[in-house]
Amino acid sequence: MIELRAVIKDYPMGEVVYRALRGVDLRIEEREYVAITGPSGSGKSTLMHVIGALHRPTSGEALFDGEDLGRMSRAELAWLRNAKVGFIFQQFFLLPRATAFQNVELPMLYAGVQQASRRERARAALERVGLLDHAQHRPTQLSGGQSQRVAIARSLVNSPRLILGDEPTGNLDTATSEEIINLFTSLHADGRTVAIVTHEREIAARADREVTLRDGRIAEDRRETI
Amino acid sequence: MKPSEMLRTALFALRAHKLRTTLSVLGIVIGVGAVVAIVALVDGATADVKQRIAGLGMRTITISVFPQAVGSASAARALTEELTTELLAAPSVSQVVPTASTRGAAIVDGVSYDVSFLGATPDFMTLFDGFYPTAGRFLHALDRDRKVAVLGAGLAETYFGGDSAVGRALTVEILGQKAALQVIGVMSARGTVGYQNLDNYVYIPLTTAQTLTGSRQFTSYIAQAADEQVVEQAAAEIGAVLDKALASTTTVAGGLPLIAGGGRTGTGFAAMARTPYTVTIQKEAIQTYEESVRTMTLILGGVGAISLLVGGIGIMNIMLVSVTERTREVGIRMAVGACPPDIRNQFLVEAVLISLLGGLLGLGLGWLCAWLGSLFGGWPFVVSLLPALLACGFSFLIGITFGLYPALRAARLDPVEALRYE
Repeated sequence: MIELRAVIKDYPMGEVVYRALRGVDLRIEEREYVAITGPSGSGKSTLMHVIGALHRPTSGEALFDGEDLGRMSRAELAWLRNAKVGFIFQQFFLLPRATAFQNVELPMLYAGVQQASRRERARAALERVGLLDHAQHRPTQLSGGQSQRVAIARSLVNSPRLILGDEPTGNLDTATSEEIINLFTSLHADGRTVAIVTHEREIAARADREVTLRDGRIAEDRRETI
Repeated sequence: MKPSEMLRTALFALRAHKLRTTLSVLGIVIGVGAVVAIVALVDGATADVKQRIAGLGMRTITISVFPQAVGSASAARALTEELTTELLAAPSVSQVVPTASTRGAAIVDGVSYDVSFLGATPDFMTLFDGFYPTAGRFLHALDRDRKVAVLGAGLAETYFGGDSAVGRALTVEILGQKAALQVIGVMSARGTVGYQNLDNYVYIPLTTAQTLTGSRQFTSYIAQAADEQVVEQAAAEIGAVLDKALASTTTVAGGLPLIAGGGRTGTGFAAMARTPYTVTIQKEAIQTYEESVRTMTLILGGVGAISLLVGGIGIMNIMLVSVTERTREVGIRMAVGACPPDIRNQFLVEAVLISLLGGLLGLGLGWLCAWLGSLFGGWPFVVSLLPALLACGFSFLIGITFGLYPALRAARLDPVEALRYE
């Protein structure tokens, strides 16, 4: 599903250029459950952004379903994120003035889904994360765990095949984290490809595969042996 | 994103910042309102003035000769008579009525009223339809040099109330000289014709007026062309007569010779300085009026346009603030699949909504002002569709123009950087 070949990603930081990824080769197959770990500044999030089509690599090839992200226009990348990727962030990134329902509805607006169908799918997604009764709440009225579940519902509404979590439990307590990770596990069980950036051992242990980054390169790639 | 959804998203964002939205809208309201009000007011006033000028009759030609200071009252009188006769002899001219107006006071029962006196000949009455004596009679050729007066309808009412004015004595004071006049008639209410209100004059024989004012006076002639087709020709003939007559006879009181100018269409002060007379035909009066109105409209419209521009800059400013403030929102939207055009349209629709709303409210406000103005000015309230369409179209353009740059800035944001923005 994802194939990275010698991917390099540079960030301009004022005068100097910061090289976040220094040549990454990685294949993620359909229905895999991958944890991406590594110390801070090792390039985990950047790798996630490249996989999730938020960024084009500076050089190298990043193939998503065989298509090179580096050759896509910004509009094509947006379409791909909308249709094929569900992104979940550490800071939830919900629209603060919109209700839970409106937040979940958002990706479908950009997909051009009809209103009746939007309503149905948003309700189904909220039900899936157990927050149907909070549909009219705003993010400020929700706890961290509830906010993250709304974000997960939002990531699901366009039925993407790839779910990406960028430290999805980083802002949550242990009990809530457990609930969230259970959701990720169930999404994988539904047949989706799941990749999670984390530096918590317990969470990484739940995945089938752990990719460890160090200084912008893959230091270790370990598969669970069944 | 579908247009209906874009509209909903934009309305949602505008409602979230009510004060900010209101202030931005206000900027456009004032600009559009000013332009619409100016256009409507000028249209109304123009219609009114045109109607008045036309009310004088399109055949009418107004001639002012200034200053008709020829040393003595008798010389002025001689010139007036000579000019009247010569002007009447012009083939395209059918009627010539000399008039001399001056301001002064009328004293009735010890009360002094400021009033305008119009020295006229008996033919003056024939210039206007519906202008006739309701009591007594108008001036007659036999009244030459007599101390008699005919009152406009408004004055008779003011001076004598319901009592009959005919036969009453009227003390007048003109240029410091007092004279006792006898009222011989009261005219019908005719109202305003051209620039003057016929109801507010005390009519006295022209010769009497010339005697009372001495030589310090201006004389106007109201002439009529034989028909509407020869008005311009008549004006040309009048110009020729005046050139000849004034060149041969006139010297000013101080001994300086008057320069007889050839300009028959001279109007305004520049013309006055050049030639000792002006000849104005109605068509020209309307044109002159329209020209001055056009200039005024341009100046006022310019001011309105500048305030529209300021309103537009206000929108741009607020949209830039909005984009900066909502950078993270833009990041979120992009992360879930908004493409750059979606983001651009979102902000553009907000800007256009602000300016369109401002345009519509401004149109209402402008019309309200114009309507109030027409009530006070006493002219018709003219609603034309063109300014309405222009206001809407223009405010739409302002929204697009000043909203585009902020919208493009938002659309160019990098999703990851936008999400990281604090």
